[in-house]
Order: sequence, then C-alpha cells, then structure tokens
Amino acid sequence: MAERLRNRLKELRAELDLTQAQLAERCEVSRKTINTVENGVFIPSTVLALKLAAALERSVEELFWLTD
Amino acid sequence: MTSVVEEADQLSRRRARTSSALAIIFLATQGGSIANHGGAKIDLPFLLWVVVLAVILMFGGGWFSSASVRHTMNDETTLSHRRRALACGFLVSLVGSVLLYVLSFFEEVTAREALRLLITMTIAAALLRFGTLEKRAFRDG
Repeated sequence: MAERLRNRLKELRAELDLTQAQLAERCEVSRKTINTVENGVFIPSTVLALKLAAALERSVEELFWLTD
Repeated sequence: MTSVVEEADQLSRRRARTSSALAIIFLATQGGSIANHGGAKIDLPFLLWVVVLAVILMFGGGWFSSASVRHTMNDETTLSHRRRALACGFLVSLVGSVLLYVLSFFEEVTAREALRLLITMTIAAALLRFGTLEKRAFRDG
C-alpha cells in the first residue's frame, strides 16, 4: 500500500491572500513547517491538520486527501 | 518589529548552518587525533566538544529568545528532523561498532580509541543529518 497524502494548502492559502509566514503565525508553527506540508515533504499531525483547517476556514477533508 | 515566526525562521536557519558547520569542524579536528591520544590524561577539550554538540542537537538554540520563539523553533517538523537525525546517529554507531568489532580481530584497538571513534562518528553524523534536513525544509519553498 503506497498511499500518498495530497493537499490544497497552497491554493487555499493564496485564496485568503496569506503568506506562509502569516499562516504559520496563525497556527503557531514555523514557516518551514508550512513549507514542508505544502510540498508534501512532511505529513502533519492531526493537531496541526486541525489548526490549518481552522486557520483556512475549511474542513480537514477539503485540505487533505489520500491518493494511490 | 520582527514577528515570532520571522525570528524563529532566522534562528532556525542559523541553527541549521551551525549544526552542519560544527559537525564538519568536529570531524576535521578530532579525526586526526583519534589514534594519537595514548596519554593518561582525560581529553577535556574533546569532552567539552561532545557536550556542546549534544546540547545543540538535543535542545537546539534560541536560548536567549522568548518562549514562543523557542516553541516555534522546535515545532513538529523540527522534532521529526531531530528524531531522524538521532536514528541516523544510532545507525552510524551500530555500523561503526560492528566494524570495530571485526577490526579488533586483526588489529589491536583499545577501548578508549574505539569509544572516541564511535562518539565522534555518532554525534557528527546526527548533527550533519539534522542540519541537512533543516536546510532542505527551508529550500523546498
């Protein structure tokens, strides 16, 4: 099983006209964390996924999904 | 005024560069002296190096910044990088131990030489890995 976590973080962040640093500030994490999540390099914890969803005013499912 | 995220960003970048640089300097300075320390005295500079590098690896800087900056510097990405760096150090230590064990059948290796070599390799590998992972995390954007 090689499922991959995809996300729309960059797109939704751009919709709200937020920089990585501003989103990081809202979620109380580093800009590096936002960067690596956006690029699919780092899989966020459930807590961070919920924080990201709240910061972007979306549900977690709208932000993240699995692909084969 | 610098925000928490910006300050944490700057300090984290500096920490990544420092980690890699210190690991290389440590390897360069200790590499040549591993086989030449037959004296009875404890090598205090070596021990000091090890303690300083271990503290940097485990706790990672920002000591003079606010708690929120330190928290941001050590968020879940950093903790993940630290875990991976420690796993790398463990692997290097294990491989080094096996190689030293085999070597000891062909050449005399004192316990002190073996330990010094293992400590040097382990801490340098972990720090280098941490620095590389951190630098890569900034570069991807």
